[in-house]
Amino acid sequence: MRRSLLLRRKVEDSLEERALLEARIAELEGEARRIYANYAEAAAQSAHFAHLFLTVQRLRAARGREGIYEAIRELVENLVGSSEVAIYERREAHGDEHREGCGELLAGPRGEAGAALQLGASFGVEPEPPGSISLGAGIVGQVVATGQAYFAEHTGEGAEGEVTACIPLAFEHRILGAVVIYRMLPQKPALSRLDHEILSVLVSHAAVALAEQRRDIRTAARVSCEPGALWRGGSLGGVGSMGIEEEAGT
Amino acid sequence: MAAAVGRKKILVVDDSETALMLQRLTLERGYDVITAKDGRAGVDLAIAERPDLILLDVVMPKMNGFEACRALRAEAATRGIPVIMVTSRGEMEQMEQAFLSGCTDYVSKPVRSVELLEKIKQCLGE
Repeated sequence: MRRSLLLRRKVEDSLEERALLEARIAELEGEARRIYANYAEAAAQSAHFAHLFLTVQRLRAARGREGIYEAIRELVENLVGSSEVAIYERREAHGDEHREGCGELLAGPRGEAGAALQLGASFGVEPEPPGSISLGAGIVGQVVATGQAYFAEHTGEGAEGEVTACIPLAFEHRILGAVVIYRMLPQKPALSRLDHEILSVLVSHAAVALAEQRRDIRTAARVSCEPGALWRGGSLGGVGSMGIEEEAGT
Repeated sequence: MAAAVGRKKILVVDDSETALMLQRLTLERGYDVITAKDGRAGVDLAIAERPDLILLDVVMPKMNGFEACRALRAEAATRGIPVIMVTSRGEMEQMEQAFLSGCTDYVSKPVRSVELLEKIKQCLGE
C-alpha cells in the first residue's frame, strides 16, 4: 500500500516535471522564433539599405544616355522585379538641348504647347503608342504634366501593356520625363513599401544623371553654335573641338 | 585583393553590372567572390579557378545559363561544383529547363539575399 502511494507520488512528480519542461520548451521555441524574426527583419533591412546604396552607385557610374537607360532597366529588374520598362523624356518642339545651347540662334515657340514626350528606350515591351506622347495624354502624359507618380491598384503580374507604375523624373522642379514599369515578373505579385522607396531613389538619381547628360550636350551645342568656335578650337591646337565631339557623341 | 584563408570561393556569372554589384554586396562578407560577364567566360573561369559554388544567370550573351551549366557538367574539373541558377521568370518551364541542364538549385529575380544565403549554405553543407 505504502509502495503504491510512493509510486503514485513519483508518477505525479514526473508528470509535473514533464509539464514544466514542455512549457519551458514552448517558451524557448517562441524565443527562437522571435530571434529568427528579428534576424530576418534586420537582414531584410540591411538588404534594403544595400539596394538603396547600389541604386545610387549604379546611376552615378552610368555614362551617356544609353548607359543611364540600361542602369534603370537593370535596377528595376534586379531590385524591383519587372523586366518591362520604358523611359520617356520630355522634349520641346525643337529639341531642348540644342535650343538651350544655341539660345537666341534658334527662333520659334517653346513651352507647354510645343512639349511632347519622346520614348527614350523600352525594354521587354513595345509601348503603345510608340514614339511620342503629348503632354497630358494618357497615364504617362498625365504623370509628366502633373509631376504626380501613378501606381496601379491591381496586384499580380498585370495584363500585357498595362502600366503598373509610372514615376516622374524630376530635377530642380522640372519634370524631365518618366520611368514606366509595365508587367511585374510572375513571382513578384506587387510593389511593396520598400519598392516604393527604391523607385523614389532611382528616379531622383536617374533625373540628376539625365540632367547632367543634357547639360553636357547643351554645352557642346552652345560652343558649336558660336561663330568661329571650331576655328578658335583649331587655333588652340584642336583640343577644344575634339573634346566637344566626344561629349556630344555620348 | 588576396583571398582570405579558409573562405570559400563563389563565382558569379551575369552580364548585368547591377546584378554583379548586388551579389558582391550580399556575398563578400562571407565568401571570396569572382565574376564573369558571359556564359563562355564563366565556364573558362570555373575551370581555371575551381570555385566552391557558381551563381549563374540565365539570360546572357555568347552562352546562356542553361548552355553554360551543361558545359560545366560536361567538364570533369567542374562537374561536382554546385550551381545555383538565377532566373528572371520563376515559371515552371524555366525551372524544369534549369534542372535538366544540371543545376543544383535556383533563385528567382528579384533575388532576396536571405533566401540566397540560405541556399548557398545548404549547397555548401554549412
